[in-house]
Amino acid sequence: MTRLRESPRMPTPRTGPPAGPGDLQRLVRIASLAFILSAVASVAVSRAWPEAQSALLLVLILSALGVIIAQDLVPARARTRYLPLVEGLLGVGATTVVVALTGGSGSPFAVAYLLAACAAALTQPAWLAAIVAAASVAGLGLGAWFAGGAPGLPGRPGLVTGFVDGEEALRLAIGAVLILVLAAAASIASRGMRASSVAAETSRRSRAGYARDRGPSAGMRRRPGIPWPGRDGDRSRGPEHGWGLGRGGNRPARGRGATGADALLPGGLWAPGMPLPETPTLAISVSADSIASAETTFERRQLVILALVGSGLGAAVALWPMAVMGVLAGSLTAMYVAVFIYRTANFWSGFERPNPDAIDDATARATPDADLPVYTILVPAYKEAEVIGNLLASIDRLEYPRDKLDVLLLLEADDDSTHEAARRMIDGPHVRVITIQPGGPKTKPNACNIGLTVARGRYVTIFDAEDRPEPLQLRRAVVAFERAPDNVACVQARLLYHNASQNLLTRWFAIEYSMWFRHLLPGLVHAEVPVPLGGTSNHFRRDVLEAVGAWDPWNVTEDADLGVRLHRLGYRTRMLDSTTLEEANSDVVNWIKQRSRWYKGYMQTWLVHMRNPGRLLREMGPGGFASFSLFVGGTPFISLVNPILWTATLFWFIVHPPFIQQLFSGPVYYLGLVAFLGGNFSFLYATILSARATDTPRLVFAAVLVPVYWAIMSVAATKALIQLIAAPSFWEKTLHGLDLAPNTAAPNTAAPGTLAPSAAAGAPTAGPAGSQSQPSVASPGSAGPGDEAS
Amino acid sequence: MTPGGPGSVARPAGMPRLPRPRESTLIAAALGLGYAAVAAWLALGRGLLIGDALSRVANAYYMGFSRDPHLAAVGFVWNPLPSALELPLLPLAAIWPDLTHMGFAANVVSVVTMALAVRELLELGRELGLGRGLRVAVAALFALHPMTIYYAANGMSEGPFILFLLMAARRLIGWTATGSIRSLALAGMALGLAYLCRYEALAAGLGAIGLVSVVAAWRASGTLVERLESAAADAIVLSAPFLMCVGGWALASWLIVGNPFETFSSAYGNTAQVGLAAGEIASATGRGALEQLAYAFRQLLGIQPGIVVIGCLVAAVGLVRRDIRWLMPAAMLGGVLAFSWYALLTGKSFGWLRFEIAAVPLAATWAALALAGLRLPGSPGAAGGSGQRDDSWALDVHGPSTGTRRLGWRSRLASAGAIAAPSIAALMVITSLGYALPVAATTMQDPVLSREESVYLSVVQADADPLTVRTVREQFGWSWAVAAWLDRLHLPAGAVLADGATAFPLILRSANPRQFVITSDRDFRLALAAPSTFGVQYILVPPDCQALDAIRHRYATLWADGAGFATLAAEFPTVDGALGCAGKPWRLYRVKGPAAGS
Repeated sequence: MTRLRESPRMPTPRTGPPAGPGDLQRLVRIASLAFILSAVASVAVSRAWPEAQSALLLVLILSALGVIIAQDLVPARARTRYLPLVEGLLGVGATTVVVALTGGSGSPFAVAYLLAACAAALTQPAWLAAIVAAASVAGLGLGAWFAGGAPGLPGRPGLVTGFVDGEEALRLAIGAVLILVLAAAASIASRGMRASSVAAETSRRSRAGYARDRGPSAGMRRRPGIPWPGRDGDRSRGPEHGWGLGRGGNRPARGRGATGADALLPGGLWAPGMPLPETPTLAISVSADSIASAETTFERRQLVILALVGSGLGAAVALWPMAVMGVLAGSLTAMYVAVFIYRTANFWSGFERPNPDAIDDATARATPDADLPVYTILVPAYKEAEVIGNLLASIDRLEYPRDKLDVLLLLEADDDSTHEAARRMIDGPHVRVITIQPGGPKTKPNACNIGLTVARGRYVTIFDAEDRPEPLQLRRAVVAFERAPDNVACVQARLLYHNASQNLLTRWFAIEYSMWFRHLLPGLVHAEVPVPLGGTSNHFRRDVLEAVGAWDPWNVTEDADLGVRLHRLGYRTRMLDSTTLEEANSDVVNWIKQRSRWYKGYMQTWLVHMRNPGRLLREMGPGGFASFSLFVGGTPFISLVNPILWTATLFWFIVHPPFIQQLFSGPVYYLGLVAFLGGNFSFLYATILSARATDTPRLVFAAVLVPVYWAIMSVAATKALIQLIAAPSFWEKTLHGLDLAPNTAAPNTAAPGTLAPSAAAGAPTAGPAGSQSQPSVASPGSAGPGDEAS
Repeated sequence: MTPGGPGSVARPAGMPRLPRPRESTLIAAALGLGYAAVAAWLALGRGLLIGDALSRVANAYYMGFSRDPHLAAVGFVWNPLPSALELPLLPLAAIWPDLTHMGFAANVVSVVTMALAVRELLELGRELGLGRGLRVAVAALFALHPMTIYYAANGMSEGPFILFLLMAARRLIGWTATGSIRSLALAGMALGLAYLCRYEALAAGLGAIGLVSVVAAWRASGTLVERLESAAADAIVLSAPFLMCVGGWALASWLIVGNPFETFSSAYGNTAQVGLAAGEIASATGRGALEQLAYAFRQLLGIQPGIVVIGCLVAAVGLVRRDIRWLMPAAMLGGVLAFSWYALLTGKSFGWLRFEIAAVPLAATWAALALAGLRLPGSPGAAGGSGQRDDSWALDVHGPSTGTRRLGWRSRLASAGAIAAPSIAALMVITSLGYALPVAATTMQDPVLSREESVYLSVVQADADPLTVRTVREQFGWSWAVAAWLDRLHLPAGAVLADGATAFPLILRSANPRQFVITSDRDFRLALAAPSTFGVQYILVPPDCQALDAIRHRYATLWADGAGFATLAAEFPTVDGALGCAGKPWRLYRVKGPAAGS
């Protein structure tokens, strides 16, 4: 049904840096300490093993010391590659003692074998992991043997021969298989991460070096370029990291000073034959290193807090399981209610006033051409040769004087076909091709950052190659900026889909976009709170964009992050009453990939900005802070929590198990009732209203079925959470060109304020259109009709 | 506050909101104070307590203050919203005991909601472009209608019911004019809330949904399929909140008590009560469909005699203006009326006068629409080069109807004497509304048409029959005596078994509500089955002339002889002669030992 094809030149999808071994090691250390802590607590309080209690506590405390010694106190130069082995074996040994003292294979602490084996597999080479796993299996048997009656131990008189009965043997076998299988899986899963660790470590160190010598130079000159810390995400690119964003002898922009000459501008920001722009080098004054990047998902402090909370929670659960779980269920429900109430209120606010700043056509056309500012359009594209024509056609349809247009086609250096197509089709000096040299993360925001350094316009916007902006959009944006107060740095046009009627998924998606851009984002704008931007058609003042550090190349939803950062630095976003048409993802698997990336990006954004909550609170005010958490954090949260609450509710209605009554007791039960009835209904009804607010009444029927869509969203959110921990910058590829239409551009004739999918649906629609957010760079070579042969 | 400017008439969706309409809020607030004064005088001064209002307060009270406070204690026989609105007032009973003792929380709710209903009417007039004088006149004639005042003051669920119906009518009228989805959504929510007040809203909802579907299909463009789709989409927008309320309430009821529609099936429900009173109902309303219909029609004209005149006028104006907005209140409020007639004809209704109360807001809404359509000089919506604006209200079937046809006989008429014609029509509308006030006041004291109100209102009549007055005022006197008797004993929690459905005034009255085990308690069945083991010391038994309650259902002879395990501790005579109970006392039994079969 779809033409899911992958180009033979498909790049490695892992364009972002994988989780470094350092992160994993930290995680392992924290997990082991948390485990030990909770074990100590449960031994001390439960008093289930009175005769062995002191011995158990001693062993556990010694193990904790061992972890700290091995992980933190051994000086770096004394570390050998055998140290982890020693550590692992000691851990297995300690576990064996504990297990033996607490009842053999049935001991709750036997799970530590599993943890040890997996930890080794995640962080260490395969041979070492194999040894630890084998030791774990052996330890499990040994522990059971001791517990079953090894001579000399208290408790049971022992006959060695009698220690395995049928049940015990079964438990041991299952335990051993579990340990081996999970360890193998973890080892395989982490191989990619480990393999790229060398490069990542190098970059880490070089950055550290740069940070040291930045001190003296900082006073002398401003760092040119956009100061996102670079990190080599693609190990194949070797020493070429160090993106020069300046030129003409400027120092490299990135913190890769350590790589020396390599890091200087690798000459090739512009394709041969392109005239150099006359503007001088940008020297962007940035406060951006004050606001962090998603290069690191969890900061050290966040990890420590997470570990403390986690171990505290673990211990508490061990001590008072029902009470703590009840508190957890209560806070989960309360958060859910807060998120849904905020979202509903926000929806209604946007629903009541969807277009307060409407600009009519006459006003938009009123500005004389001579008074229009130069407008930069950034078009990041990767392997999209087929849509270059569509793009140029869309640009031609824009009612904006050519000599005031500065279209920058941002193409990766290895993308020969698109380069070729661009050379063939570009018909005027208003379109320039910028070649993105390898070295930075191969992401859309990275390309945009580079494009920004050569942009000439007073205003900057981003279009994907397959976007179809409404022709008056730039003029409307100019008027909107003129009307708006000075602190408005961005106007966001609406994104809608032209293939809404393709299937049920695209209908849901179209409704969701209608809700997002017509009701939810306007609601945020009314409330003067941070607005997470949509992927394209956001228009910026270039000076402000440069001042805030532009896009975070490590965040997989850099647009949302940028919207929040603008707000933090005192700038505001408005909605623009103009529409850009895109292609909705029509394949479920593909959709989940895309959506999980967005969720991950939202989680990243939340974590990044929450690194210093106190400062965030000061910068955003309590309203903005709450909105940021409830909206940006709440979006993935609610999808994550939905299945839990649905299951609990369903379970409750059908089985009526007493433990749910215990978990949801008293007020929590009513809160849950509110969450279940109010939350689900208000979301459903908001969806229906958004569907009806489009020009396609038929969408209402799809809206009624939207709970199914929510279920798919929950799958994506779960995937996103796992990925956030396992591979934070892994960029899910989105396949394009699934709308089955020939590659002819249908103009966006949508008048402002109308949804045009029905209009466009009948017309021949564009082929490879992008997903909303990060289409081109990460796309596996968009499978346009040109690739039909494959 | 400026009366609605030109922009307020046909405000398309998405235009900036008008400044807050404070005028109508102020008027409503002033009216609310007046209603409150009447309520205080009736309930606290003259001692008028109405069982239905009191039992809603009791249901709210069970949720928060009984021995086993929980949400489901609200009960499923009567719809929950009035009780839910009363709940937040109940903690104040610590300062002002009358909120529960006299059930005054219900009066507070009816006062506030009826005042807000007047506000809705004022807002409707503003949106219709009526001048201030006219809209205040219409609203005043609604607000001062005796039925409005009485039901604002007496704590019944008619107050919130009419509020939500008027809200829905106003929004539906707005939707017909502008096609605004927001209006449609608000109408749907209001209908849902109306259902949570009274079951009759089912008819209003179905009427509104049907009419909206037809209008939407009529008005949509495109092929037949597209028009049907559009109609279905609008019907979904309107009906989703309504169905959510109907379905949610039925689901909750089904999950908790095992039956989705308790009022039709429960022994305490409407159906059962009507069944018990069938003979009495028939003697008042007459037998046979024709007699009963005539009875209902006399009731209708008795409280709103002008409704026929106003209805004809608004229909005529609608025809001339090609404006179908008047159908919206007709479908909704008329649906409520039709429902009550249907229920009467099929023997499911008491045929109370108050079941016709929807005629009062219906006439007022129609009057506002008719006056708006008449375009009287001086009103902001009047003609004066504003033909286009008025057409924007019209059902746009044939495109804007400006110009051409108006040059015909109508323009000549207008130039000749037509300045007078609208004024005469307007005068007819206002007079009809005003005429209803004295007529309704008389009807409400008519013992045949107004079997409930005439009895209750005897407390304020100078020449009333003293026995009737005493019956009304001391209707719940037995409960006060029981409360005093029991409170003196300082019993522990769960020591008195009572059926909340009949003993509610006692529980509201008692200073120690936790001493009662009542029907809403989740362990009630346990206590009922084995009172002595449960720790029950006393059992309160209603006289055996009343509808069967849970206690007498379990122990049939308890009232008569203690069923072999209890001794009579005290008797509390009643004055209520309504169902042949006159003089028969409530009895309080003291539990001696295990009940037979427990």
